Amino acid sequence: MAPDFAALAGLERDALTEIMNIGVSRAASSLRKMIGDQVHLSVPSIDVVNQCRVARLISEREIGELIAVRQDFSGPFSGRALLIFPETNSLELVRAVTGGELSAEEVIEMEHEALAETGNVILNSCLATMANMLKRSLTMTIPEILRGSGESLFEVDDQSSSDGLVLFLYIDFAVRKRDIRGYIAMMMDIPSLEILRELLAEFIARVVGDDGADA
Amino acid sequence: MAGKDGLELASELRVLRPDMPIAIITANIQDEIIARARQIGAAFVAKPVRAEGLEGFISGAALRLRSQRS
Repeated sequence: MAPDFAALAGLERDALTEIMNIGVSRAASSLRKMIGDQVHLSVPSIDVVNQCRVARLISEREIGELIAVRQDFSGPFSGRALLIFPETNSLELVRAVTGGELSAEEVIEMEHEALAETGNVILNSCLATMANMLKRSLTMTIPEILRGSGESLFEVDDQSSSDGLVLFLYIDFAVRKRDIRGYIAMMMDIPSLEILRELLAEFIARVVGDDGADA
Repeated sequence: MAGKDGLELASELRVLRPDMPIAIITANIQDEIIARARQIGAAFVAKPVRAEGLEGFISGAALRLRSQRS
């Protein structure tokens, strides 16, 4: 049974959703600059769930193998961000970001670098925007490429506390003209979520201002 | 680069070459990174890099290098 403190609700949830919306819009704008086509994004889905459930959320939607770019972040709070695609889609993304000018062999050679760089831009857009709006600094790791099923990408960490509960946030994205689709996902453990809640409260206070005591 | 990030490298270069035009090109658009780039006297160019993003830096650099020569 999830303890009450773990729930993210009301203004805090709205504030986080808004911050992520802004971050993800920036990411979409960056991706559009890289490929020249419109990127469609869903509203962020935000939940506190058991870490095992996270793997199922993705593998329920994607049967095949996935490819992901992963960046961990740390600072006042820490967590993991992933850009995830079905493996069948990844070369299409590589073709898109390399401007359609490479041969088939070159596309395959470039896959790792092109995906890492695309992930770097998209994940940094989200995380940096979030950090800026919360007026804190985050340190990001170098992007890493992973392949596997939904289960393997979201493997359960033995050291996690709070009964393996995590804040899980994800956004669907698609480039309709090109059959490119995927997810941006972010995970944070409960201690980090508690810090995030404090920062969201500060953010809300800043937005609401001095005269907003009754808001 | 092993053991060093771009900002560290830029600040070391700035000490060695006080007048060299330097741009930091990164996807990391955090305020602190932009502030540190400014402190070093480096231009900040956000990824994804486009011609417009680099134009300002390159023409500024060309101007600076030309004026150093005269």
